[in-house]
Amino acid sequence: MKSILKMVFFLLGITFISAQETFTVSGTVQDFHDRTLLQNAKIQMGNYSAFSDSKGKFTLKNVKKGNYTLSVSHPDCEPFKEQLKIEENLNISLTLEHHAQNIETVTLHGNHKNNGSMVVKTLDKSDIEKNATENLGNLLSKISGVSTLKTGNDIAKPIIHGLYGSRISILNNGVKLAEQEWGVEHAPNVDINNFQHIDVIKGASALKYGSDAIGGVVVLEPQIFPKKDTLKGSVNLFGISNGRGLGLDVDLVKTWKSGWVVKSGGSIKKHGDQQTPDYNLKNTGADFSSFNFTLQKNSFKSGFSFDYYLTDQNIGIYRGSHIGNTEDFYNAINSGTPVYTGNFSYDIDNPKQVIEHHIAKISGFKRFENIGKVSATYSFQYNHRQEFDIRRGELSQLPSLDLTLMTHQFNINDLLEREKFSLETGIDAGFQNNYSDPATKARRLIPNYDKYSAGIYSVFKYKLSQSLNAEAGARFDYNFYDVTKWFDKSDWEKRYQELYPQFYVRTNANRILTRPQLDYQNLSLNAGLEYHPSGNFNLKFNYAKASRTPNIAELFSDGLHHSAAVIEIGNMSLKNETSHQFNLVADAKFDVLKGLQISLNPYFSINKNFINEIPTGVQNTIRGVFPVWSYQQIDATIFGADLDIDFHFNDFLSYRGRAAYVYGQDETHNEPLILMMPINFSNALQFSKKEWSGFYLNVENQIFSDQKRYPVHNAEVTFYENGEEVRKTVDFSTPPKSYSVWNFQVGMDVAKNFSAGLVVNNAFNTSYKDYLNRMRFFAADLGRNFILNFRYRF
Amino acid sequence: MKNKVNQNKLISLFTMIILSFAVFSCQRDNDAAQDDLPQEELTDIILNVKNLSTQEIKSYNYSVGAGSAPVIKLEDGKSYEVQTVYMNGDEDVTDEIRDAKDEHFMIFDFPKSMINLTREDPASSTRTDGAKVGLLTKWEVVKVENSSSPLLKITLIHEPVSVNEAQNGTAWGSVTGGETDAEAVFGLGN
Repeated sequence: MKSILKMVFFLLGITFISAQETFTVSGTVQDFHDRTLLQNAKIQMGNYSAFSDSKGKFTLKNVKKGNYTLSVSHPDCEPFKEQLKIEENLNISLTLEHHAQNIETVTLHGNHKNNGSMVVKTLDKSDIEKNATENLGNLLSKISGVSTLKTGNDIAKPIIHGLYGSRISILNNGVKLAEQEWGVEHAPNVDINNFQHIDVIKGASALKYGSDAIGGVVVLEPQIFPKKDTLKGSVNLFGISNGRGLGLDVDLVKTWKSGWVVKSGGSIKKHGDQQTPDYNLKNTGADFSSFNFTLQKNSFKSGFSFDYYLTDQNIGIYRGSHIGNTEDFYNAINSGTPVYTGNFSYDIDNPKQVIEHHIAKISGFKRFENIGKVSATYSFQYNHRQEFDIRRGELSQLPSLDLTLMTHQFNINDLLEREKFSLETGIDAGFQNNYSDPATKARRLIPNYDKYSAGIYSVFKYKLSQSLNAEAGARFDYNFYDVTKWFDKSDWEKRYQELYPQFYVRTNANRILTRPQLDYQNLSLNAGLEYHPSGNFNLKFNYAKASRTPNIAELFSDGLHHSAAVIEIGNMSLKNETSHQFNLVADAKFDVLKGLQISLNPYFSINKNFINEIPTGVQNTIRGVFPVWSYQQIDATIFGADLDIDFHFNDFLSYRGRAAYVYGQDETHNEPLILMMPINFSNALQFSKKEWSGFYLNVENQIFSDQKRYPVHNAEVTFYENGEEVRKTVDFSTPPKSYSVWNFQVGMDVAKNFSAGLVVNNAFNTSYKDYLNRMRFFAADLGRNFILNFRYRF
Repeated sequence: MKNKVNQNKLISLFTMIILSFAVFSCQRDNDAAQDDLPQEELTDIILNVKNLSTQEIKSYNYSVGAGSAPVIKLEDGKSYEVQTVYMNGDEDVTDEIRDAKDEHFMIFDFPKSMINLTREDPASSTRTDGAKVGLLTKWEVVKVENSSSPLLKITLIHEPVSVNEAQNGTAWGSVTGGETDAEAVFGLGN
């Protein structure tokens, strides 16, 4: 009995002692990024292990006192190890870097999936590679609702839903391009081969990228590099038949497991005079070269990147587009075959544009537990634009326009993400200086100026339920122009002397020196909803109120615009323009054959103080009488719809259709807006069979109808025929006839890592003129073009 | 640790490089106040009309914004030698046209008169293709007022593709291509 008791006490004693020496370790495992609870994380300490449950909770019982290595692992996560001393019960909260392995996919898809209620269409790397020889403007026209404003084939600017120029922002790897974008004849300085994908955000809802982009934003995104030891690259050699061009682009990327990346590459392209189906276009050759360099180190938690981009262009402008006066314009429009055809040549003479654009950018980011991802970016851009015109004698060696634009931009951005919401806040600051060199001995088209800008924005996204997301954003911008401008005395006295006496500096004979200082404040807002009840249906709606500051050309243009034969007059009194926009996108997937996807995007905008150029009179100059177009503010209504259809018949064959319609009306003068894209359609059949060495064949038909809605603003000229005065109308306004072109693309892998492609544009050599190509007055558009390329990847 | 040090050094290096670009923006604003008067504008076209019978010279000045066109006094049956002068403000810039004679050609149009024109340019304003620019011309006036409100329209064409001195309708001279650099209208009267 006594011995049993002793045994019991002994046992109890042992138990008691043991109890005092074992503890419970429990806690939760969460994702560092957005605090979601992680299930099935394995928590191990010595011989003790447990798995976290659906609520992220785990418990390790009866852990003996001692030192342990706590190791936590989860698929898709980097394992977590820490030394722990167990001498009491512990309740710990563990955060794991979920997505570490998938950083590529998540961030990549993050850009696409987390667009919230914005309307986004994307061109991916294969679209870019198939069109590697194109400029950005021509490439983007493959997206519904996006067309191109061209001055010949080599100068192409994107138009989104009828808006272009300063109303579109182009972001090159996060840097807003600053490059005299206000000019209709100024092409973006971009090499599309630098990018992995291109997102086009239609409409004003992308407040994060600035307030001026009332039409939309083109986001050019480079590749996100994997963290492994590799050396990859590609060499692409191509030939272009129309223009007898040749080009090469090379890319090299070295990545390391530690997260370091070095990337570099460049391209050169040269072609001579381009051809219409019937004749040579004199002086339409072009040279293009680019270089890029990137040095990065990234991990999930932090990273930095240094990027440098250079583009250099020398673009010949069709000789027949340089017009002396309105009579010359009449003769040019009404001649059948233009005068300036001649034989093919590689020479690039006047008129021509020579543009050099440098971007240097340094950026970094760090993820913090409590405040999320903080990133900072500083960029510097240097743009030098020289335009050479037809000038008398030796003056033709001097450019008639010589602009140097330097822009500094700085941004700090914080992205805080949690399970149900995200909040992105940031501050932008910028300084821009434009120098217009008087050594041109020609009148400055735009004056010298300094521009200071600052902005602050915040975008809040909230997950109302499984199938409903909401977002709201606000942005405030401040812009200040400090301008130095010479006016003709008569102009100053007539237009501004009474309004702005404070800008007067001094008089010099019949010229007045002024120092205008103008400031603008913009408040922009957006709100949106995204409803996705199932994987087959997605509905987005957003409203944006965006405000744009007038650009330097709208404020201070002063002079004869040669290729348009109009005198353009700016207006210093212009106010901010405001746009109220409504965008709806419905995406639906149907289980028909191998899948049918339809996307419909109707949109509507009311624009107040919309800045538009309107003819306001005539001016007699030594060359004759010219129409004068002045910048004024009007009320404008723009609405339309884009339609995208993707229908997969089987595993090899699919149909891709695009259609777009835009309606624009100047409500103040009760007439249509100029340069609205006519209804257009693209229908394509795409065949691809990977088993046949990656063979693909695309056939596309594009139809552009004639624009029936256009303002009529023509000029009158007087000719003397047979001794009689005859008045004739110079018809600038009537758009050309509708037209249809066929394009083919075919390609396959020729050998391992070696692919070839052939593109045939305007396969049937159709002669046509496009309403949005300013060269249409003087010549037809390009004829058939064969583009053959060979790409080697390693 | 070593990585972090290298990283910091790199960041500083790149910041320095970028800031050095920034320095350039500050230097050129001193000549921002320099005026941008165009050097190749033409403001006046002056005709020095010499009556070959009396040797008397009369000058007629057409300028933009002058209001009304000057009226050249001509007598039927008489001949005149006419010298054309181009001005930019107060500066005679006719030599600039002579220096670039291969780029220029003038057309004289008398739509309501019967006047025969011959070009008498010396070598200094005769183009390499043989055509004469028209800075010196002889007018043989048959009838000034063939129909009401007679006038003379002079056009200076820059870089025409081809030129022809022959009469074309009522105009003396024709071109293909080119741009109109200057246009002047003078009234004609007895």
